[in-house]
Amino acid sequence: MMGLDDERLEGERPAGTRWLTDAVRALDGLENRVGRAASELFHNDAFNLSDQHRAQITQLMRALIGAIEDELRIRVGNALPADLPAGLAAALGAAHVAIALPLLERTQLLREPDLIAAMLRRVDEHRLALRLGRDSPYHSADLAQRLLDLGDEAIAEAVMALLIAESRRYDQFGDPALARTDLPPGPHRRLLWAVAAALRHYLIRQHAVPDAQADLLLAGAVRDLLDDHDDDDTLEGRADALAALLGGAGLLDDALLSAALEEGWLALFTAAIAQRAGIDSAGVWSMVADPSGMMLGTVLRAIDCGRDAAVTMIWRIGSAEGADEEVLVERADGFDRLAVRDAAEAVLIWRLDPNYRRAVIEIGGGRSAGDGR
Amino acid sequence: MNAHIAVRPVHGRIDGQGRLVEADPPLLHLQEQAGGVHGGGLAVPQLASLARLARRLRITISRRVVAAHGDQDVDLWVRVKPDGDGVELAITGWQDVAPSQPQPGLEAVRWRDFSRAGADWIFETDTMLRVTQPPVGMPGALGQPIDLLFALSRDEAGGSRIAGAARVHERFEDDGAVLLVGAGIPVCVAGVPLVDGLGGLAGYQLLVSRRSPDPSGAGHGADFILFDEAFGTQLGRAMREPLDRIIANADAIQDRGDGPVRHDYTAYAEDIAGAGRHLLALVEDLVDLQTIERPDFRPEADVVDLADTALRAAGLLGVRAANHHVRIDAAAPAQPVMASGDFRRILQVLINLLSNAIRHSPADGTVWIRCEREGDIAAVVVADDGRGIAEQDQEKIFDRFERLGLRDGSGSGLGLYISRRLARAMGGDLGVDSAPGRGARFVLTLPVAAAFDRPGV
Repeated sequence: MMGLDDERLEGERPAGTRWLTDAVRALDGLENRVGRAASELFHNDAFNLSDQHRAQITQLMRALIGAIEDELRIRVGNALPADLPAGLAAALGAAHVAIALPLLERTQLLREPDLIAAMLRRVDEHRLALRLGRDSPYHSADLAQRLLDLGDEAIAEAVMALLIAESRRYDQFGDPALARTDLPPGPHRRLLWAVAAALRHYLIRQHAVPDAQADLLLAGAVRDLLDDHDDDDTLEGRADALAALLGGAGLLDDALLSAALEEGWLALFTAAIAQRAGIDSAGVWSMVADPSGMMLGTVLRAIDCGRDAAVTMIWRIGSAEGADEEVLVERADGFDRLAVRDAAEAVLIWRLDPNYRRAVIEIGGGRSAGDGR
Repeated sequence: MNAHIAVRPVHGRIDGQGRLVEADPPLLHLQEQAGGVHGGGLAVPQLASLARLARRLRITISRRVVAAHGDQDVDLWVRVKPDGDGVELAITGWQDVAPSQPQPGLEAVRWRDFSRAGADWIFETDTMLRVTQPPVGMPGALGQPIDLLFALSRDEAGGSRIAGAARVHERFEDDGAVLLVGAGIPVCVAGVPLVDGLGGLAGYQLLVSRRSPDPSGAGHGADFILFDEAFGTQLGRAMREPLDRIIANADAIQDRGDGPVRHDYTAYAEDIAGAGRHLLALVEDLVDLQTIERPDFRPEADVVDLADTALRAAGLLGVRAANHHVRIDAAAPAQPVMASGDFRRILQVLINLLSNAIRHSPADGTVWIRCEREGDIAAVVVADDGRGIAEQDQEKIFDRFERLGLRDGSGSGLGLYISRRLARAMGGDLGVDSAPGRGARFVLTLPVAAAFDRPGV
């Protein structure tokens, strides 16, 4: 978002304003990245590209749509009245006939920013966790064991719930996976209805099911799934719950953050920072994944993290991303130069509702806040 | 092996200057294997960079490091802790492992590199001998039949040997071909059949290497089509950049700017930089050669003060001469010597002559450059006190790729050839007068400029 004028003014602005500009820039960078991912993913040739990142998101999307479609088809199939054609039941029960995905890929319905952001986060998190694990001597759940050993029943339950949710992060081949139940509530509802709409089209066009009957069948199936869904039983939700308990018990110290990061336990790492900073975990994740690498230092300073722990974390993430020595030193220097008050001011915008943040950026308030004009 | 090492950490200490001032025996051994010494700079690059990073970030860093250890690799878990000005090293998990092998997929690339070492260009063709993969810098060759790119040797029946071999899917060689670029480049062409997954012929890989010009090979030159006029520019652009990078990196290794390097490695780096410079000079000369050999090449015919040009050339090469401990004696004449020619090209010739003279001069030697006029001829004389040139070699040195007596990797073997071509294109000539042990005296002659062609003017 920053133009040349902004760059020129950089040196003249007070530190707090400069860091706020960085925050806005990072936020805008993330939004852009999600937008680009959405656009590239649905490019005609995108499915054939060998790039691992895009391939993994594509795989996530296919698996996700396929799983939702399967669940809806089972429910619709079970609810079919006896007078409907037998061929319809056979088609709905067939294992290899994809109905929704080909229809949805032709529309804009899958380009929803929150959905793409969730998939992008899952893939980024997976890659980063693997690299952190590679740099760690003992890639084990040592921290989880220590939390279980605390003897606090609520914390133990929350740790187990998080570990179960963590197990949904991988498919049987160790590739990243995103279960429907891990989607945030908004994209979850929208995606369910989008798949249902695709099935409606199929029921009416291919099997001449009357419109009203198709609507009733599908609405019932979607409502069943929504009724069964627990918005808190997502990976991020479970991590937030554990972080809240640990925060309440005064256990969210720098050592816990460092240990979570070293073990590649990124869901807990992100939720723990979010808890200490009073920001939603999606916002913290965008700081962790900030391509400039500066926002992690800012949020760590804002929560008054000690230098050793903070710079070690900056080094771990930078190193896992392949940043070279000069970049790492620059990030550490950035942390050293930043006052806690300026950092707290810079992350203020992240404490606001995400919809408000996005609107601020869209309208251009971020730019004028950033360059002081 | 090294089980005892895995139990107790191996300690070391690096001071603020990056020197290994304390080291347990295994670490010292690793340091010595890498070409370092006790108390010298840490010679294991992976450890040195980790130590530097920990010192700069001022944090304790623990991570896995794989370093070369003789013929083996060694897998280490290293903990680096800043301590005062320096850092403390603690190494655990010391384990010898087999050296990492290149991925099998790289074999094809390596083969290509090896081929490239022996070939100047590599083409790939389809079964119809049309180019499917041209060399870098010759994109215009894509899709062309090789008959249009090469003048191939013919058998008695008039067919090319290559076409005959291709019909039966065999390897072939043509050591009398000419690559139709510019005035034509004599080449050897070796064709290797490419076989597809089902065992069928997929095409040919052509390894094309330069050869000495055919002494009886009259008749090619002027008939050649100009295959790609932009070839020279493309070749120059394609090769200068990678060569510049190779030279810069080799120089950096040689300077040991990034840390200590084993002595034999710096020698290799010196070789690499030298070879790179030679190739760069060759590329530049080839590009120039192609320009001046074009039938429509016409140098400018300006009025040029040879005395002033000679002084400029001497000035440009002053530093190089000083580096070789050679002095350039370029006394200014009493009056200008005005000739007709292209200032830039005259300067190029003089720089070439002076460079040669400096290269062939003994240490503490002198190179002279003088201008004179005789009738309607203006001349510049460049003389040195080097070993001189035997009479039978005095014409040879003006041949292409002739690097008489030079085995130091310097010079492309094209400089004098180009210089003489330029002199003649400007209506003058370039000759040499020398005797073994008595230095060499090169004379560049040019017509006196029309307005100054009367003696005394």
